[in-house]
Amino acid sequence: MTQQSTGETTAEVGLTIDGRGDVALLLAIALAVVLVAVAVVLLAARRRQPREGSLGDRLRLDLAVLRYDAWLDLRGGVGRRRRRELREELRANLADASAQVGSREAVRRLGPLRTLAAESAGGGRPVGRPAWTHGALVAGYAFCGVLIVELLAVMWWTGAAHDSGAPTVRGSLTLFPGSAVEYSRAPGGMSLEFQPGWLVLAAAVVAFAVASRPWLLARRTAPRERATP
Amino acid sequence: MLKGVLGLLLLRLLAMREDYGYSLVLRLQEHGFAELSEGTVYPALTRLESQGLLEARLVRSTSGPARKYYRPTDAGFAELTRAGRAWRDLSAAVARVVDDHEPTTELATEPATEPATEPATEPATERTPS
Repeated sequence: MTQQSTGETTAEVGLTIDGRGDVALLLAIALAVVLVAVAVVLLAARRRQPREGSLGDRLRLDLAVLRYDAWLDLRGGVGRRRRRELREELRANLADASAQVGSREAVRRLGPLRTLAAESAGGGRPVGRPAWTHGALVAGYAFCGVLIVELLAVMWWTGAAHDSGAPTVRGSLTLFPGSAVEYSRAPGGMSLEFQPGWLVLAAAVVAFAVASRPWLLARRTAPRERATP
Repeated sequence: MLKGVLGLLLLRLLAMREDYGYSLVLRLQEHGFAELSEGTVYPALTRLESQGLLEARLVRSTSGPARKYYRPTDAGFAELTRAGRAWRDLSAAVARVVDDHEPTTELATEPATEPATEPATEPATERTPS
């Protein structure tokens, strides 16, 4: 498998695959990455909550802790270390409550996690400052994540195009607006051109906006503006 | 009102013995606060810790994640004394009002003493026939 630029448009990426074996290899690698990621999450959940409870219970509790952490993060004003402490404390309390009343009831008794996070963070108005670096990091993750999913979709599309027997197939990916894929048979293999479309960029922008919390900038300046006559 | 005294309750229970969040919820429920939920107690603990009234330590658990045990600091014990006294004063004042004025089924027929009325500021004018 080789990768090369087409030279026609800088935004385009040409991908030449020497045979169907490479497609299978790519799919196998992607599948392995996904499986490893799932295994890591499950092992982490098992390590944190080693006692009784089904996988569904552990996932429900983990999801509640993640949502709580996300609200703490979105609210701002809570350092990373403090957030971890609050997260772990909630996890331990939830584990005990879940053992007595079940995971669903344990989570329900917490009330709205947004409120819990706000009150745990000290109540009042959110404080802190926008986290541009964190936002950029999360945007990078979002960009890569969406791109990987789109590449997987392209692999499936390519398999279908190859099986159709047509010398050239052009199309787009339904869930990725603006994308374009062109498959051509070539001597000894095939040629594939792919434009990812705007969804990848949009996902990155949205992730940056959410993770960097630019609204804290406005909230930090608001009291000063009101104080001035 | 419960929100106002929740800190006092937590300090009191923790002065008896150090404890962690969910166990405190159970202890409060055993003491009659059945409606008290975790979503109310956990932030209160965090607030007391942020105010320096509680200190905490992690204790490993064989059955799950490490638990965070709280106990009052010196400032916490001082706050417990102050808040306890304030609560007893408030409770006594409320009891005086409630107990000394037992509700009756009959409505009072006569109004309470009328407030003293100020004399008219303008001098009375005599009417003269026109």
